[in-house]
Amino acid sequence: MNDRLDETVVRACRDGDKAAYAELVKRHYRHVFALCLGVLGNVHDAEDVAQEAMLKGMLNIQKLSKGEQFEAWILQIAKNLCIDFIRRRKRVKPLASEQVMQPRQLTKENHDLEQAVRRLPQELRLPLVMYYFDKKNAKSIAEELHISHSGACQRIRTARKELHKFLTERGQDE
Amino acid sequence: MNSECKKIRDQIADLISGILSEPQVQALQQHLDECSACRDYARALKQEDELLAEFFAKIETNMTDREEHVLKAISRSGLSEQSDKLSIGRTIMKSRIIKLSAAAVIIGAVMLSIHLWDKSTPSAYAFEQTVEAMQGKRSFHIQTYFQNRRKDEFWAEYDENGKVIRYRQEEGKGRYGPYVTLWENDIRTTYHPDGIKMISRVGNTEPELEEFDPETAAKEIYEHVAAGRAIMEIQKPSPYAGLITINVTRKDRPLRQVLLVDPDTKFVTRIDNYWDADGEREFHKGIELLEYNQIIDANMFSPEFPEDTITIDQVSQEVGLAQADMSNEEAACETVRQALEAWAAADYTKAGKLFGGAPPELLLTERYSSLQPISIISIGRPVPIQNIKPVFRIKCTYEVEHDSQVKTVSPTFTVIAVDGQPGRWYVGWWIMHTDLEVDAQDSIVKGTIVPGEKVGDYTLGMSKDDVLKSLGKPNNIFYEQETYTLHNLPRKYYMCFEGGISFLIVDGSVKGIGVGEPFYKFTNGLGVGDSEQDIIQAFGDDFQLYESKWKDFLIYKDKGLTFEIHKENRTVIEINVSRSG
Repeated sequence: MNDRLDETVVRACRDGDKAAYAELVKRHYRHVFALCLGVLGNVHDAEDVAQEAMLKGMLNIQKLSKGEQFEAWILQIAKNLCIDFIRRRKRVKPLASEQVMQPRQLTKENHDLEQAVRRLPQELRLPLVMYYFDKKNAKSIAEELHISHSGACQRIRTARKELHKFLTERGQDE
Repeated sequence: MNSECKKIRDQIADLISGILSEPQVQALQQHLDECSACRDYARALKQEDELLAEFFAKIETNMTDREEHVLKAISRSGLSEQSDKLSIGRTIMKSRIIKLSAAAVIIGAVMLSIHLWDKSTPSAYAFEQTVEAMQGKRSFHIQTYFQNRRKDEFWAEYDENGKVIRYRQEEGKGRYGPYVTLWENDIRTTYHPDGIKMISRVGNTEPELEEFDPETAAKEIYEHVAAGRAIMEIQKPSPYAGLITINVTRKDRPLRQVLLVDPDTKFVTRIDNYWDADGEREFHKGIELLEYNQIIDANMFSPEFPEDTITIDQVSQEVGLAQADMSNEEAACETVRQALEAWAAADYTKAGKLFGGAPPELLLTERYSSLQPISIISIGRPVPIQNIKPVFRIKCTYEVEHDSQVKTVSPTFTVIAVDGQPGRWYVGWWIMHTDLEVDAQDSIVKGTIVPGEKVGDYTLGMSKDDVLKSLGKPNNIFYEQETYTLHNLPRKYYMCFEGGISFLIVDGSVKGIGVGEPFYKFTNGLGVGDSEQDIIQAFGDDFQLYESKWKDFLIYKDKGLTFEIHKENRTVIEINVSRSG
C-alpha cells in the first residue's frame, strides 16, 4: 500500500477511500511540519499550522487535479498558512512572549540554542531546519526553495556563522 | 583576524556542512595547523553542529505523536465518515453551476458533524448555510477595521476556481487621498499620493488578500469548530436588529470573534476579531462585507492616475544589483554604495536602476536633488528588519550642497530584495530621516507631545468644545462604520482635523489624541516620520507589538503611547497618546 504513487492515493481519496488521506498525512506530514518549523521557528506554532495545513488539504483535495503534485501543493498551502499566521499573530515582543507562553523544561544549553535558531531570519532558518531536521542536502534545499545551489550553500554557511555569533554573544553577556 | 581568516571561516562553515571539495579541505587543514584562532572557531562550529543535530533530534522524537494528533483531528472533522458522499458528489460534477452546488453538498456533508450550537436555537438557521451560501465567490467589496476605526477598502474579483483575478485596495484617506494598490496578472501597482505623486509597479507578486476573503474566513471558522478548536453559539436576542449574531471563542488562541449574518442571504456581513492582549486589553480587527458577488465597475481596476505621476517600474526592466556570491549584508551595503556613487556622479540612469527602477526625473525633483551626494563619507552597518522578505536599513553619511554650503547628512536607506527578480537588491526610493529634513521640520513644529498627558495645547480630558474652539470644524467624525456631524454626535467617536491631528472623544471629553504629521514632537525631537529604531532606542523595548497587514503597532502601555509603523519603510506614521497604564 505504501508503494502506491501519490497520484493513485489522491485519486482514491477523491473517490471516497476512507483511509487514503491518512496515508497522505503519514507520507507528507513530516515535510509540512519541517517547513512550518523553518518558517515560524517555534515548535508549538509549527504543530498548529502544520495540522491546519493538513486539514485544509483534506477539505480542498477535490481542487487538486494533478495528484502527483500533492507534496508541492500541500507545502504551498502550509507556506501560505505560515505567512498568514505571521501576519496575524499578536506578539508581545517575539522572544519574551514565546517564553511566557511556552515554559518548557530544557537544558540551558538547548534553550540558548533554541533562542538562537529562533533569532535567525526566516530565509536562513528554513534551510537550516531542512538540513538538520529534514536531512536534506544543499542540492535538494536549493530545488525546494527555488534558489541556486551556491545560494543554498551560502545560506547554510551564513546561518552557521550567525548562530555562532548569537551563541557567543550570549556567552559574553552572562 | 586577517582577511584570509575571514575567507577561511566561510570554508570552515562549509567543511561542517560537508560541501567542501577535497583540495579545499587540504588547504583549509594547512591553515588550521598554523592559525589557532581559526582552529578554535572550527572547534566551536563543530560543537554547535553536534548541538544542532541533537536539538533537532529531540524535536524529532515527538513526530509520531504529532502525526497521531493530526490523524485524530482529521477523523474528528468527519471527512472519513462522510467520504462515501464525496464520491456521489463527484459523479454529478458536470457543469460549473452543478459543480458549485455540488461543492455545497460536499461541504454540507463534511460538516454534518457539527451542530454544536444548532440545538440551542429553534431557528432554521445553521452556520453550514452560510458556508454554503458563500461558496464559490466571484467578487467582493469590503471595508476593514482596526481598533474600531476604518482602515482599508477592497474590491476583488475571482475566477471560477476561486483564484483571485484582480483587486483594488484603498488604504487610509489622508490629506492627499488614499494609497491605492491594484493587483492583476501578478503585477502590483501602488499609487502614492503624498508629496511627489508616484506609482510603483512590481512584478511576480502574490495577491495579498487571503485574510480579507469572507468566504475563506467563514470556512476557516467552520473548520476550527469542526476540529474542536473553537466554540460557536448564537447570541439571543441579537444585539443587531435584523441580523443573526454568532459568537465564536477559540480554545487554542486568545481570540473571540463576533459574526453578523444576514438571515435572508445567509452571508456573513461582518466579522470582528478581538484578540486578548494581556487579559485587560483587546485588539480589534474586523471586516464588513459591503457587496458580495456583485459586478464591480471595471474602472475600479484600471490604473489611471494623475498625469504628473512618476512611475517606478520593476516589471519591464531589471532593477537593483545582482547579489552574486555576496552575503545578504554585503549585497545590501554594496547596493547602497553603488547607488550613492552613481547619484554623486550624476549618473541618474544607473542610480535610478539601483533605486529600484526610479526614473531620472524622480532624482531630479527638488526633494531628491537636495539629498544628492557630492562625496560619500561612510556606509553604515546593515541592520536587518524583521519582515517576511529580507530588508536592511543602512545609515549612510555623506556631504550635500545645500544653499551653496556643504553640509553633512546621515539619511537611513532601506535595502530590499527585488520582488520577482531573485538575487537582486535595490535601495528604497523613500529616504528616511535626514538632518536637512529635520531642519525644515523644526521650523514648523506646533507643539510638544507629552506621553499620557497632552499633544501641544490639547490635553487628555479636555472638553470637545474646547478642541472645536481651537481647531474649528473637523474634517470628519466617525466611529466604527458610522460617520457623524456635529449635530448628531454619539457617545464615543473620532474627530479628525486638518494638520493630521485627531481625537477620540468619549462622553464629551478627550480620551485619546492621534498625531499623523510631524508638526508635533516629543521633547527628544522624535515624531511622525522618524524610524522605528529611533523610537525603540528612545522609549525602550518594553512594548507590545501588533502586526497588521500594512502596519505594525508598537504599544507602550505604561506610557500611554502607541506608534503605528509603516511595514516597508519602518517609519512612524501615527502616534497615539492616551492615559498610561
